[in-house]
Amino acid sequence: MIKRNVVYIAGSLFIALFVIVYGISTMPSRLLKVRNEAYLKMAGGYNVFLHLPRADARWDTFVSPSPDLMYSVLVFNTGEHPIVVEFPPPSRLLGQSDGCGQYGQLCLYRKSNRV
Amino acid sequence: MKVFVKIIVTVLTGILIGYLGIAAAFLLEATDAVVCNSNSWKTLKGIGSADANALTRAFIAKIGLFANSREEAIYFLAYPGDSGEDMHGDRHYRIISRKPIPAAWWAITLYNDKRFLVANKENRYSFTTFNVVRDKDGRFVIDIAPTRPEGAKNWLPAPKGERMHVILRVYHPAPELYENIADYPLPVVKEVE
Repeated sequence: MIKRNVVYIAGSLFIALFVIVYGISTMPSRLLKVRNEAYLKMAGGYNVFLHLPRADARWDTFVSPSPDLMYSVLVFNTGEHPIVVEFPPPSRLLGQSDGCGQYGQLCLYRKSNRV
Repeated sequence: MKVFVKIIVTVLTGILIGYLGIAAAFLLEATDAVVCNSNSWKTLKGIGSADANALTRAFIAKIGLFANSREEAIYFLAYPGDSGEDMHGDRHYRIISRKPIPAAWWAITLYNDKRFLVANKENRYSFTTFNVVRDKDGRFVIDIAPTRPEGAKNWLPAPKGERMHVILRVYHPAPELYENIADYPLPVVKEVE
């Protein structure tokens, strides 16, 4: 009887360990997968830049947006061939009259990590 | 039948312990990875870095978009006072600058409990290097309150009846800041009685 209970307890602990390791190691990629699928849908597919509007109180694309930044997202896939990324200057996205600055940056991320 | 029930209980217990373990790991990581500044701001070590571990990545993925490295941008979350409590939209807070923030530009942005921008008549969501009103000596004060405090030059309308979050973003910080995150005299955040 005691032996059998030890087996059940060990089983529970093994499952707990699996849940912890699997849950933590895959959490970033699972969250990003959900986001990437949403961006792909909004952009219309891979290798298409999605230039988002300036954030305001109606914004619900992602949490903690900066109203002082313009966000562009490109979900790219180099599985079939290399790609060239062309990024328009912010002034062309908004128009010079909107007072946007010259600051801009392009960051690459892989599925779960920053490259 | 009895064995079947025991197996189900074993699996469910394992899953429950596993989820509790994940929560505990998050808590330990969050405590260990936090850098505090001026009893007002907190930021995470390793944010935006290729060396960041899975917990940091998961945390960032949950509260915001992709993060930059420390040399490009630092993100501070406001936690005024000793208690570490979240800020609340029914209260009045004041952000008081001490020294210029050494960076290409910075922005202080207010969010509601769901971490979205707060709707208000003035469409005012943030103050930045470029639009904050400063005193003659270059310092500034930002008031965060549900109604405009008398004499406030920089007012961020707070969301009534809910918790809120304030983020200080510092872009292209100078080494004197990113090499000294805990001690650089950033603006202080205080609750106004």
